[in-house]
Amino acid sequence: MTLAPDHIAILGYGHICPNRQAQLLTDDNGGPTYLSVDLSRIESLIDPDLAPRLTRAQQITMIAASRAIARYGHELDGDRTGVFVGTGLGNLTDTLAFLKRAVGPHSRLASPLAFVHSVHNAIASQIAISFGLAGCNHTCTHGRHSFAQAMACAGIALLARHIDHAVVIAVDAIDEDYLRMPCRDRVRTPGEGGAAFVVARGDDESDTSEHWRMNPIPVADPLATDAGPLIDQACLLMRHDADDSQSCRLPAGSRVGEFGKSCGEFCTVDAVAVAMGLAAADDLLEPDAIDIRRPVSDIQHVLVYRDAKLSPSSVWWLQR
Amino acid sequence: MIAVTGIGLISALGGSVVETWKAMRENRTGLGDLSLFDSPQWRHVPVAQVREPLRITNDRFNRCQRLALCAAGQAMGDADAQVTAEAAADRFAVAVGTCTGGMLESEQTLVDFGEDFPAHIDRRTYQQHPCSAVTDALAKQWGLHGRRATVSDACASGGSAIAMACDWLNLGLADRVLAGGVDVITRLTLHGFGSLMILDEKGCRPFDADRRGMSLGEGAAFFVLEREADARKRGATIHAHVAGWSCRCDAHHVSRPSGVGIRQAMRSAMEMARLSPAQVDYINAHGSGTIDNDRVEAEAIHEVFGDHSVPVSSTKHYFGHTLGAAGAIEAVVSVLAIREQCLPPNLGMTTPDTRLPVHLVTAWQNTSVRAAMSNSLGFGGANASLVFTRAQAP
Repeated sequence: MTLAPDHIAILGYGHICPNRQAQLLTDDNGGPTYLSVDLSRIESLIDPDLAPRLTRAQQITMIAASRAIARYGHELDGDRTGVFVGTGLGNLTDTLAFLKRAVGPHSRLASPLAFVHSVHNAIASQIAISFGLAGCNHTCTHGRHSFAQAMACAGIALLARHIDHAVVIAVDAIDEDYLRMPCRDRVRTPGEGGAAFVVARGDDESDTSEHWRMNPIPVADPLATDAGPLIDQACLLMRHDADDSQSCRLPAGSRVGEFGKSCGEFCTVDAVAVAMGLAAADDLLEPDAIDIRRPVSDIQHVLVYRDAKLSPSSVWWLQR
Repeated sequence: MIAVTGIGLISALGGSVVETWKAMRENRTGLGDLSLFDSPQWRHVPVAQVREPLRITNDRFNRCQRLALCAAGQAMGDADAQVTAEAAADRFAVAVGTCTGGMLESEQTLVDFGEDFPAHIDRRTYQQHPCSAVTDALAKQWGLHGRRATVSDACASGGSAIAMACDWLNLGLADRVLAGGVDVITRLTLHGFGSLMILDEKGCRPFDADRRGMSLGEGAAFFVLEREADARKRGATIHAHVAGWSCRCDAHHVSRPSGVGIRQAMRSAMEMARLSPAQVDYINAHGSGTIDNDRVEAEAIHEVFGDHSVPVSSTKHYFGHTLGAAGAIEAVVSVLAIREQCLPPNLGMTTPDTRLPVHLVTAWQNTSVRAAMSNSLGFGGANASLVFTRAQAP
């Protein structure tokens, strides 16, 4: 069984998320706990002059994109490369910081830069500027479907030949006001993180021989079809937690990894899980980064489950 | 070829395409006083607020959703585009460009409760805050189960959403798409553009020698788009074709346009439409009224169109700058220019900036309009260019 003919090729990937040693933090008011990315060494990870001027979401994005582009290892043609960002919360912290000033008694002190950063596409534009990527540049924001929408938009722009490569990014950063909202989902521990992928058309692989293939939209669970599993080779199944794969029948030699403990829960956590899964399958993940039995080098498929029990079409399927 | 078979619009000028076009022909501006919320600091700045009662019987929606539902309802009715056997629900897609979503209602909680506002955000406000709540409301209203996208590309969002919809149709990923843009005036955007010192106290004057900045507006515009063959097969009225589209990024600065992206977008859109510069009869410019934007865009137009004296106008003094809706509203104006064979002027411009190397429309002009281009430029260097052409008789 192979992927659909309109699949795309993943030529590079990178991610950043809270690691397994991350302690549960609380906000300044002793409020809810959450898992946080360690950005204390940000200056060593991206341009130290740029880092302090970026929002938290932009910092996370820059780290993930830098890693993905470095892993790709070739120069991207800026005119033919697009940027596609999926984000649920965008730069919410900066938006709220601006608004608190603007509607308060000191409204004249509201920072213009904070307003510029409040725009959803400030993340995508920073990537375009930093890496000189002048193709189409879109920001998709659709809650938990944000990464799926960004990846689909990239796949369509590639198929339409508007571009030859795309940098697809998914990011969400913790916001302490958001954590205090009583109506948010409280079932899982909140987290944050980002992932980036350099992708190209599946039929245009002249610049690389090693890559992963994927459908640009999540698929129905290939392990839980009525007709039996579509995959008969060993796979790496990445699940948020044990609840996410109750019905699947894993082929012999398969491995299971749980990303919920490392990442927590946020709108675009599925993107981070995809990048972690690929890194694990390529044996590039630090051994303690995720709860997974080794070795994983014989893995041909990576499946990422997120709420698969709730939605049968919420599985990312990647094939070596 | 992509056909426009339905058009819907709500703006400060009126609650429908007909009302808005009539007001435009009478050279009325939508700019006036702000009454949506109290803003002592920016009370003196005119805005183009929708004053029309929003004819949505269900009051559970926020303002952004209501504006979108009004405009989209017109477009669906105009196209006679209910879900049918020919256009099954799972092949009927929705693409929305927006920046503000439910921000206006969320802000009110911040105003009412200050720093403690998160604890007082109610479930409805929370659920309707995201931009995607608009898209979901439209899909639910008409039972559309096809592809969905919520695009937030700053002021180019509406143009981006329409371009994306055209790709879906071209690639056979959908049979019909409800595509457009919507945004409301919020404290965030009013204070934000105010903090950048680019709100013109006299109202925006695009391409005027004495222009000082922009005016905020709100509204929504939607198209029903489908492949021409499908539209002809079902006997739909075709208002115009979307013949070319392109989105490009400046990759230059987070808020200052360079002109590189819009130049490439205009060229690519014309190439896709197989039109030469001489065959484009009108450009509805982004023309926000800021000193930088109008200069950069005019220079880009001159570079692309050369000595072809294509008429250019910005319609921002009619509608204000409606942000994520602007690209869609101005796309509607471009289609109407083709359909009605006339060009709207640069309302608000009294002294054309002669340093700008473009042919600015100064009064309504009846002329042959075979093709029209609509440009959108946004923060982050986002650019979209759409080319519309006249529908041929079947």
